[in-house]
Amino acid sequence: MVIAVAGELIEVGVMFAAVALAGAIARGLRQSVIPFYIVSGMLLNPFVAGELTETFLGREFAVGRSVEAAHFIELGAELGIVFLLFFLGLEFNLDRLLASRGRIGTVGIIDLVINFGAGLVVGFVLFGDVLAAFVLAGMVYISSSAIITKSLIDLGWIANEESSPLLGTLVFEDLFIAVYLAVLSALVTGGGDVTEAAFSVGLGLGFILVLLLVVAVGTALFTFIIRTESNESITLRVTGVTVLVAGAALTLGVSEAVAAFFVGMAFSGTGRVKKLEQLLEPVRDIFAAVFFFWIGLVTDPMLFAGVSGGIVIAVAATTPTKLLSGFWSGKVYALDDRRSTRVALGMVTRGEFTLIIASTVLAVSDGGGAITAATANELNAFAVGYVLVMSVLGTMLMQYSGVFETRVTAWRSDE
Amino acid sequence: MDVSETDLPGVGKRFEFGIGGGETVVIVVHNTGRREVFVRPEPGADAEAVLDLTDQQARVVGSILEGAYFQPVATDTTTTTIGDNVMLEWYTLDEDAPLVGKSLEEANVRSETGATIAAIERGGDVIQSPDPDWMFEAEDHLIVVGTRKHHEQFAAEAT
Repeated sequence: MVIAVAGELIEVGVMFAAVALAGAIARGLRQSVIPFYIVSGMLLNPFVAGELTETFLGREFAVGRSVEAAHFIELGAELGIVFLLFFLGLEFNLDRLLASRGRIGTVGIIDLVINFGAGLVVGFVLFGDVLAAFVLAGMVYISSSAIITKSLIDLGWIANEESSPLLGTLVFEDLFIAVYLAVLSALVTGGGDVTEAAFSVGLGLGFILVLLLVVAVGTALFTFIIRTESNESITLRVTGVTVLVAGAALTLGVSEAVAAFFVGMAFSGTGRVKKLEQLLEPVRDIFAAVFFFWIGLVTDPMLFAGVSGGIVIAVAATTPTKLLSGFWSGKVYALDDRRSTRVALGMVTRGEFTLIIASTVLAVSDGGGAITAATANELNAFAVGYVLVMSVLGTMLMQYSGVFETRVTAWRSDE
Repeated sequence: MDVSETDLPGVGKRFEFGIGGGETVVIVVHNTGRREVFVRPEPGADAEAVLDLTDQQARVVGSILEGAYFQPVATDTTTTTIGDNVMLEWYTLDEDAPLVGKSLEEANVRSETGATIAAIERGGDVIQSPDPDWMFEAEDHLIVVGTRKHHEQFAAEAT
């Protein structure tokens, strides 16, 4: 028993040490931490480090072979998704969205039509399947709130006007992705049968309605839940409610991520958002890192060979579409060419949500859903490769935006 | 002076106000408590970072700017508004002020006027939440919290 636990503990320790090291390297290179977490997972996965250590050190010393540690990491990754979406809900303010629905709605729809549309086309060309195209469209549509917001702060753009269309579009995307995930998990779970699919989509949307109702009328209840001055109690109570509701959702066959989003939204009504963010940020950061590590861990790098063509096509097609929709969004906010260029460059980064979509598909494909395990693994490898490229590319485009700004303003004034 | 306020979803809020000569001060208040101060030298230019403060540092800087640490110009009263109608006001007791010679308990300021004495400054020392047996003297500076009506009452009856 003790020896067995020791084996798992050291694997989990290796994981945390690896993500900590990956984070340090990323900061040193002024890059986003997400691609580095993923790569650390890939290097330590059974297909890479597992094979190497088993060949050279023998089976007993092989890395990534502990089944229990793998279970822990998978569960931790699940919690990562739950907390990422919980935070999204916590920071989501429906009143604020409604107050500025005009412009946010316009830029959100420009962004959605252009990028989701392009994703559907690219997805159908690559996979020849409507459902796979729907999955891929979601993956390439959603920009990374986490990476983009951090870059906005690091570069000081947060003090300028370009931050409004960027953050506004992200808010719209976040709301869309909550609905999308509910529909997606219903569609992929539902099997090939149309009636069955319609039923599970109905169930998913019904669940959203119930949660929305709870958000609307339950503020008093949620305020009561966290009515304590003990930080420890608040952290535990919020974690208890969030994970329990997410787990209940998953048991009912509804997206746990969406449930967590609405729980976050319900807590945002209590007026203690700042406090909750301060207390739960470390929890989210730990499990989010586990999630990115896990997605690298379950990705067989050999699969990249099969999807590399698709990744190249998707990068080539969906970078310009984000540039186009971003520049246009800047114009909707009446920004000049220079600032609109920044909005365009800022929207290119894809990250956590692309991977959450991949893991949603991966999770249900095992149980004989509408997407085969082989396709799900290909979509996952695609998502990982695509995010590795787009997160680094997007961050670099923002850092070197000056070059593009000069080009664009010169080019536009020539016309 | 117009202070414009912009929501920054997921980050916090941004406040902007002109300080003349085309310059604009931009303050970003993060949800984490961090405050960043920028100056935009002219309209349309990029805001340049000036200060990056923690919550606590920002409060110190704020109260120095507000004059709570040191009043450059001698004034009898200085008003700060908290929320919509609650105000914080400084009073200095004259020799003939009704409060002088009374204890805090005797004066019973809160039930008489509705206002609350939050702190007292005497000879450079600030006494926060003074004891009931505190004796008022001339030249005490009182920091009083209350609505406008409470302040009017307080000014009339106590100073």
